[in-house]
Amino acid sequence: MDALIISNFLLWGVVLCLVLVILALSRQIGVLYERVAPMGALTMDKGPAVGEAAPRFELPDLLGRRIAVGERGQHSQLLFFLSPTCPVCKKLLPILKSVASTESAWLRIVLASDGEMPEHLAFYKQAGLERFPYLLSTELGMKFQISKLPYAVLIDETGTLRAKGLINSREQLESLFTAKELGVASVQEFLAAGTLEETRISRKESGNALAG
Amino acid sequence: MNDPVLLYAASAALACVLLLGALEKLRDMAGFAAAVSAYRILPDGWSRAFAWAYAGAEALAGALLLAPSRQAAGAELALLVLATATVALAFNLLRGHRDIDCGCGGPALRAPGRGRQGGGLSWWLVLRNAVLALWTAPALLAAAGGSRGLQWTDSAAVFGLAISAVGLYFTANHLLASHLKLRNL
Repeated sequence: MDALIISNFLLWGVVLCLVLVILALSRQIGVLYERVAPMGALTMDKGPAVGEAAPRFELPDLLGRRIAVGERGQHSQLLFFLSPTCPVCKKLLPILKSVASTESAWLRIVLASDGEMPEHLAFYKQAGLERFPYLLSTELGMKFQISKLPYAVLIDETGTLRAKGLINSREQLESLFTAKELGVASVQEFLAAGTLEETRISRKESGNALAG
Repeated sequence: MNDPVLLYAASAALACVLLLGALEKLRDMAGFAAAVSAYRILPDGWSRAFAWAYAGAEALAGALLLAPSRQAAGAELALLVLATATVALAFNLLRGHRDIDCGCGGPALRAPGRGRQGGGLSWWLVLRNAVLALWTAPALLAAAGGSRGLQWTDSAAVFGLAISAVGLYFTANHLLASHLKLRNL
């Protein structure tokens, strides 16, 4: 009988410990949901500010076509700064192609880099990027003050800079489009304003997701 | 079913849940009254009075459940309190009015650092309340017939069951809050 009583008390002790552990775990899951808020492309506070007119350029691309940057036009322009030696850029190339088709109604993507022509031309051909204009210009990168790659700058159809940031994933790329739609400089600024309700509406309308 | 271990454990757990709920509502009476009016069942002027009456009934039910000779009355009052909340919940769920603060308190249903509380209504809340209502059964049945006396060895079971039940209730609340946040993401 004594053995039963002792084992009963011990078992209750174990059960209570387990309940405590489960409670703590479920609490932590809740905290995680709070912390892992939508996070978009990181905007470094350099170069022309969002909302200002973008610097204008007219440059020849790798195939010799004249490409205008920051001009007024029918389409928005996504300047995507990359380099053949950057692994993350390569990971993003298929995403860029897919985005180019899904957003073709309003967006034109322009790739930009700097360096030696032959190396870039080989990369251009090998990666199958012929559908995008590819600019080689040190001045372009200097003007936008690009220090990290891959970096994207979104310029709207009136030539105004609408969003920019360091891009590591499809979600961060799409966060630029969402930022343009919502009229905010970056997702960080939007979150600071603390109006998550509106995100939900805008998501349903646009199908563009802020990074999850 | 009317073993004293079940009776005392279920009553103590339910009393704990009710008293903590009432305490939370009393600490933020304005918030709870706002939640009541968001249910849009009562006329506008009534929400405040109803909020006080509800929190009072909840606290009274909890206290009665702890008094050994009044447990049946406490259980009945607790059932009434739970039924009121559940009917209001189900009514709003049925008419598709789910994006409101449930007003049911609980540490997790209140989003910290944000003015707006909770994540809306869900049928899981109805299920949770139904399980809570089951905890009144031992007290209601004990009123019907006699039972064996309590021994000192029962203390572990009573204490363990009650604390486990309360712990599981809070766990359910946390999981429910996460579920609602995910739904709204």
